[in-house]
Amino acid sequence: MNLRDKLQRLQIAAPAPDADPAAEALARVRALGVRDAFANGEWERAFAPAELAKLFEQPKLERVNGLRDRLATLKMRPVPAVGSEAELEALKRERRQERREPAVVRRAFAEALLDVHDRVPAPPTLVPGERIETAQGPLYATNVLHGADHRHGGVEVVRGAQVLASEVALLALDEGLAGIDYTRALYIDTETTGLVGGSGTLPFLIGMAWFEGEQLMVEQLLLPRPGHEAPMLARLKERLAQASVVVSFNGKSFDWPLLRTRYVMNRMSVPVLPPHLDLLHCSRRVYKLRLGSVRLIHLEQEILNYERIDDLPGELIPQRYFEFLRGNAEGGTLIPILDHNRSDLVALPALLGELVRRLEPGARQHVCDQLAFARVAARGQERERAIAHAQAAIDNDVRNEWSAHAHLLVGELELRRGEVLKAIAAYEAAVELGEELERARAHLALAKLHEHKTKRFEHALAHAACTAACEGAEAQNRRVARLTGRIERRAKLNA
Amino acid sequence: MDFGDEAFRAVPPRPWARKTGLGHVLSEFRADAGMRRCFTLDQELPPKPARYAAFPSELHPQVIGALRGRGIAQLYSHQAESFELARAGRHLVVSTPTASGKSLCYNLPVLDALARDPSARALYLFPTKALSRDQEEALKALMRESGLDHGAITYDGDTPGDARRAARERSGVLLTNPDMLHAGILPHHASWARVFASLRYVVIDELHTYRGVFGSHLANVIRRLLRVAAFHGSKPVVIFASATIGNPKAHAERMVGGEVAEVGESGAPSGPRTVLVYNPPVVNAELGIRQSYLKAAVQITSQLLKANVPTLVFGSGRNQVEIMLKYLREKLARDRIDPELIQGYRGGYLPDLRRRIESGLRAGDVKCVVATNALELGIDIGTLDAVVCAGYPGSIAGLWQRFGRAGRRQEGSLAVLVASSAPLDQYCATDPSSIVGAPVEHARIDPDNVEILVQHLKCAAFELPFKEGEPFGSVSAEDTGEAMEFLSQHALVHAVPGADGGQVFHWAADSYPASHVSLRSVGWDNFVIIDLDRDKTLAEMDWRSTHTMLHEQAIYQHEAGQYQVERLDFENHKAYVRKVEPDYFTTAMTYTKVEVIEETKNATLGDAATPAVLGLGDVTVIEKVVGYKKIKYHTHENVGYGEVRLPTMQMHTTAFWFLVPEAVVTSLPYARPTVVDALRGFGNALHTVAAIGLMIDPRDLGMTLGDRHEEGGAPGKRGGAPGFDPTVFLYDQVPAGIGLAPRMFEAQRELIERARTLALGCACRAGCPACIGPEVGQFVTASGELAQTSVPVVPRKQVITELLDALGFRTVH
Repeated sequence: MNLRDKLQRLQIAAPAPDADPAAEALARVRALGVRDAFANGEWERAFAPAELAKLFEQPKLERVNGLRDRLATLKMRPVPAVGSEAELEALKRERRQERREPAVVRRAFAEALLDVHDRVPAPPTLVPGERIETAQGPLYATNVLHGADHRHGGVEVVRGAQVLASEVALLALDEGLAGIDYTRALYIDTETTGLVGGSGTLPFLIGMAWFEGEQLMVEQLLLPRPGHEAPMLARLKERLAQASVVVSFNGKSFDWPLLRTRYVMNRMSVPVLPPHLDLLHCSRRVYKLRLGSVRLIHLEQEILNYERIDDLPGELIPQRYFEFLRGNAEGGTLIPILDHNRSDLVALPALLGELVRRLEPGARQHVCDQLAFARVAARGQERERAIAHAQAAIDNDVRNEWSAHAHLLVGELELRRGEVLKAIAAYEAAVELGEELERARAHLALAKLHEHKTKRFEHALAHAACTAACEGAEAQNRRVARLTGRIERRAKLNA
Repeated sequence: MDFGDEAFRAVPPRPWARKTGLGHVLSEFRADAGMRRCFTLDQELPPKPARYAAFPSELHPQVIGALRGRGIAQLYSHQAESFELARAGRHLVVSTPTASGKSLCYNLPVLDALARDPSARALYLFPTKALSRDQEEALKALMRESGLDHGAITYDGDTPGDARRAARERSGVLLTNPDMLHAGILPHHASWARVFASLRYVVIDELHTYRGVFGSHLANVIRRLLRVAAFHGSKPVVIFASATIGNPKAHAERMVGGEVAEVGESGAPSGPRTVLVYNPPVVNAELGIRQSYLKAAVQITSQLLKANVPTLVFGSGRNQVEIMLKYLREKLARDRIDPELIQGYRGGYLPDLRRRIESGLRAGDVKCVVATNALELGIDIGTLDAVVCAGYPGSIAGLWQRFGRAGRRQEGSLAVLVASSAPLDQYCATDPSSIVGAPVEHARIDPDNVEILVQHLKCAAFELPFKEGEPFGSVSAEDTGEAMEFLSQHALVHAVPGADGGQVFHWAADSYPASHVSLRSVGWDNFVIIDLDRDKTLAEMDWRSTHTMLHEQAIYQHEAGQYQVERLDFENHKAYVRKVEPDYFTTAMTYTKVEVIEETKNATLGDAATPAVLGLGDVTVIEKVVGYKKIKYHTHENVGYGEVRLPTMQMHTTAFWFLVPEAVVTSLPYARPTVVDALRGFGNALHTVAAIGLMIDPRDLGMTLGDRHEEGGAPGKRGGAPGFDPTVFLYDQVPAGIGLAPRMFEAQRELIERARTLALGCACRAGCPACIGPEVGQFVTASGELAQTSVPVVPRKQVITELLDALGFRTVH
């Protein structure tokens, strides 16, 4: 059966053809002839992505593709400086209702003559993307350019290109990421035939994104059939060679090992990877405290104000690709996978920009996140910034949930820069506000401070009485005994 | 006799130290009329002189230097022969006896290759983690002395992350086990590209342990390994090392799917060895009860120890080992011998303790070890002067593996088998020719068992796409292609036209096939045993044994101490025990029954009015510990019972069965139990011929006698009750089955014909282990003692003949 017959059959199956815009479009293409429609671009004019997807979808999976493109990118005002949680919620809702024009999507379909199966002859398959002839064979690429004002949720995507390298290095706690030109970053995300890894798992869609000036170009390479990986791997290698840094979400332990395996399996040399920024690790350090699980979808909701609509759940992706491979589904059914992947990719520069923005102590955010940033800054040896973050957390902590933790951190940092009195003040505040364990930790710090710094042994002894929850009864007893001894010895000396 | 053992001489003189040495003990044994009567075999095996060979000229000077540094001036002939064969690129199997320097046979070519090529790699496979660790240490020392800095790393579940990276990238030798290779390395072979690209040697030690289903799995893992190596551009030489088995060459050839050279003649010298078989005296003639073989073994061992002869004692199970250890320590304490000189050794002891005992043995701080077959494998403890084997281990090969531990290079040594009352032991004791000079059992595998093969083809397709026309080891291209079509129909692989026009089958499923294939039917997961008094882990135990040894109130014996199980936390795999000092130990009583879930096929066989019914179907094999007995120490009296409430162990599998209608049973002029017992005997014969015909290890096939229509309730023995069609069930001892039962059903006629030939053609009078099993009316109690039932002794073969006649089998050809 050729494509024309197939399309015809589909049309017959469609209910009430006169009322269906997809059927009308189809009629236009049929008048032209499918091949001609492809050749002179009439195909694209005739088919909005919505109709096309509908054409290829199973009838029961009624869903208007392309709508998400409009919903995906919400026009937003700048993030407000103040606002109660209720206000913020209202704002989020309002934003979700706003819509804006989608990015320039040049959606194309190429005919892939791949199923020359000698036992079961199959018709040519349409796969999303433009067919590009390369030295290694045909490449199926979909390119989407996102304008300079493109937003992912509430965040302008272009901010990912405007980050300061030193800030990224602090965020990632990786000195190797300083001094890098982030306008030349290559964002990578793959869709695979499974999550298990190993040599039998295929990344069948390699998504890449990079900035062209202030515009973000997304390029997605689709594997039409297993065994045809060489062209896409070669293209990835070229892109990697031009990139200053690779940015991914969980790419260090998932995408890159898998891609690396593919080069070995295809007997191609493994490309040298530029420095790798894995945003999962950065986000986890900050948001684990508050969110527990740090999946991209949660981060989008919580910090990018982005709500996925009609998103294809990741766990359905392998099956959908297999259905396509086996000829049970048309190439159009892969479009939701491409959309899912593109959404993931566009989220990355937005996330990077937003994380770096929030790394500034002035940025208004959840108390818990502020505390987490303080800890990141402390680990990155940026004491001033850490203290500022912690102080902001204390100032904004109306319900006193996190203040004790923040005070403890401030105490530690002040002590490290020799500000004994400030440290004592911070620890005393922690004693005041903390739960049992934090109180004990603060008491312990104070006991040490008064023993070794201020030499006020009586104070130290008083604090040492409350440290058991933190250091254990045995250590506490030793501490008390030692302090008692010092007090006695000093009394003797004075006498 | 001089032991030439400095550590030993350093022991201060003791009262019993006057008359020492093996020769003295032997003459003492022979002078004792009571004992002499019990020795059914007393034979001296002649010494064997050494055959040496000069260092092969091709052996790298650095390696020769290391050997010279160890005082080795020349090689044994088999070591040189192995080296030459390996250098010539031939697969080989070394099957020389225990302690003949086998590991050098494979280490020499490997070290030589490493010395010549810094990028060369070798892969060592051992059946257990402990063995890998052992060999890692030994190999590292040898590498150091050879000036090689390639490194050797054990890669298993316990290997930390950074060592894993080093194993992939740098290590010259990778030591691992088949399970890890199967599920952890091969599916990720791209990450191991460096290893596979320069893989020169694959060493597979303890080949004899890979038989039956486990061996068939390994053969397929090797097919995958060689396929992956070929992809990365290497063609490794496989070197096998095996303990004594009947068919090392043929076994290795099936394993690797190609020609394998055999190195079987050991050049290592051995001193004269005396082999004794001791059948404990009958203490109750009326009941035919013999003296406890455990006590007899303890008696013999204590005489050896008093004469200062380092001795290794083998017991058949954990309980037996602990009981002998306790008795030995008590007995020798009376002679003021330090109990620490006598140690237990068995699976379940924590690795640390085992390492201490091993080094103690080597250093001479330990004079006697009481061990299970955990010491059969190549743990390096050197050899001892005497081995006492309490109970026949079930096979000639197993017996000689144990006996092989005795045998010093120059002086004489002693190997004693103390027969238990078990029929097999009694058979060996009464006919000692079955021990010395008897043919050794063959190891059998069937790598082309379809169920196993398909599992591994899935794994192989995951690892590398299959090209049309590509064979899989010794599986032809045509068969492989058909299997791929099958997998394609099941949507596991996807066929795509390749560059050369042929099809390429790519893995196309969201799963990791290796994780669904377990090489061993017995799980690896362990229970830990926690001492409540010290709040510390005392030992560990495999899941299966937990039911019989760690049920609540059981006495768990450890290093001759007793602990009572207070709580068994089944879910969290923990048993909590507390030290006690009871005068008894416990043994569990288990029952096995088979429940038919669904009969898929049936047939009648025989032309009688009521013929036998043969069936095939899905069954549940239910094993349950129903209670335990308290057995008093020393007297071995039964002093009480207890109940056990444990979940049953259930396994869904496939079974083939042989049902004899009740009418046939009652038509014979014998008591019902007699006929049922004869049928059980015929079942044993069926089991034996099936294991041989299916090329499996007998343990891969379960056999039980029950009733097809029995349902519900606890399994029990109902052999004598009316309303019962006695049925022999033969089932796959692997969850879900591996296709043994259907093959038995297909070959039913031949199987029964062969069993009949075996049962009736055997030269024995009323049944022996080789045919229909133990003589009727005798059974073995849980503690290994022989007891008598009230069933009168009738010629079983006669009954079997009449039973088969009544079923109309005369016409079966």
